[in-house]
Amino acid sequence: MGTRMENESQDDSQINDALRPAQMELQAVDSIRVDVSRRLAGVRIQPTVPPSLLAAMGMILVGAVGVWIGRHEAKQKISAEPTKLVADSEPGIVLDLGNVQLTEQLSAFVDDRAVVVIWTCKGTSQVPDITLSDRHYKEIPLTRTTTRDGQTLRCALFVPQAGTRPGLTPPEIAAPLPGNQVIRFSALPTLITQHDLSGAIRAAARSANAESQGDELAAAVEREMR
Amino acid sequence: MPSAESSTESDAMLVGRARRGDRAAFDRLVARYEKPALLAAGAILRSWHDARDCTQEAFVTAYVKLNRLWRPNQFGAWLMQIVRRQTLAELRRRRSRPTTEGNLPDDVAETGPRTWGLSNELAELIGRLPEQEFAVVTLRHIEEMTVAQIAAATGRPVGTVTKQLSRAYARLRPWLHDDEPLAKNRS
Repeated sequence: MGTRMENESQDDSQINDALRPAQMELQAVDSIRVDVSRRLAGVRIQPTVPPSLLAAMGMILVGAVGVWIGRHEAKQKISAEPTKLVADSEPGIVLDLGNVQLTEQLSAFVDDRAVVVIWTCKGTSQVPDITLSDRHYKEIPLTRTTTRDGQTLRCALFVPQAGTRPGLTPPEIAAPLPGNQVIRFSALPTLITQHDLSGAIRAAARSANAESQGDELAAAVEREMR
Repeated sequence: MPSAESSTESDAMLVGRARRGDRAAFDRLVARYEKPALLAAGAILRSWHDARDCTQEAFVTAYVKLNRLWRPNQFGAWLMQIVRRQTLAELRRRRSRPTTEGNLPDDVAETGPRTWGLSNELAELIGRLPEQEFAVVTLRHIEEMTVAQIAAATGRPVGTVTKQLSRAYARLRPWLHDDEPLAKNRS
């Protein structure tokens, strides 16, 4: 400590000595005080930014940050919880077949293993017997029940055959129409994890006015998936 | 040789008064930092004559922008920033000025090393210190203020001023003890 102070005191006097020539030259330079004073006579200090403007800028900044965070969080939610979209979504395809209306309530591709499809039919005439007509899948029918508003609800599990990729070749469902006609439609499965499957099935049952069937449907699918 | 400016009224107080339109208060700041500012400009331009012009310009700029100074007690360091910026801009202007082949621009020829000797090597080295350290070192060795006076002027504790001086000395020590010409260190 003492040595450091001695060093610094030595530095102090050495700097003084070394700066002597510059100091002498500086003494010979005319002072600028008068010139500066003369020049300042014609200028004014620039005003500061008014506090109201600062406050407005602050509010805009806070708003922009809020919007950015909101968007960022929304994006994260989508990527982290894709099943929420499925669970909360409205029914998918609605097909009007004259006297019959066919609605796809849920179509979800579960963990690369199977496609769960829940659909409902309602109509004034006899509900057609909708069957799977797809050689790419093995159908496991799970439930055929009636909803509170009288629709027929069906749930089936489609297990892809070897080499079938549901993303590229979704299951195809055929619905016979009066007059020996048949209409076919492809399910549009959304990717879902098995963990979120039950919630998505219950949400679909709710949306089809069959909430009481939700648990039973979920249990049936889980049983088959095991 | 102690400076005529012996007041220890703090920079912050003088800045406050100057902002309220007190020209005399700003004049006291000019008196306090005139020589440090000249040294900062001279160390870059190597000419007292040009340094004088740049320093004047820097003080006028500082006055006009005085309301933008957020920490009035750091007026010295802030002014040195302005001086350096102004001086470097002047240097760039000079270099970009077209000259006839083989001739230096008039002002460079006139105010070159002739007015800036090797004896000012240390001044150049000090001119490269960080602004706060530069302000403290020049107040100490050019204005010949005591540490207590510097502390009062800059509104900082004596301990802080001492630390800043120590840091500056540590940077300058290799030059002081080896006594090597600055030109060697530059390569």
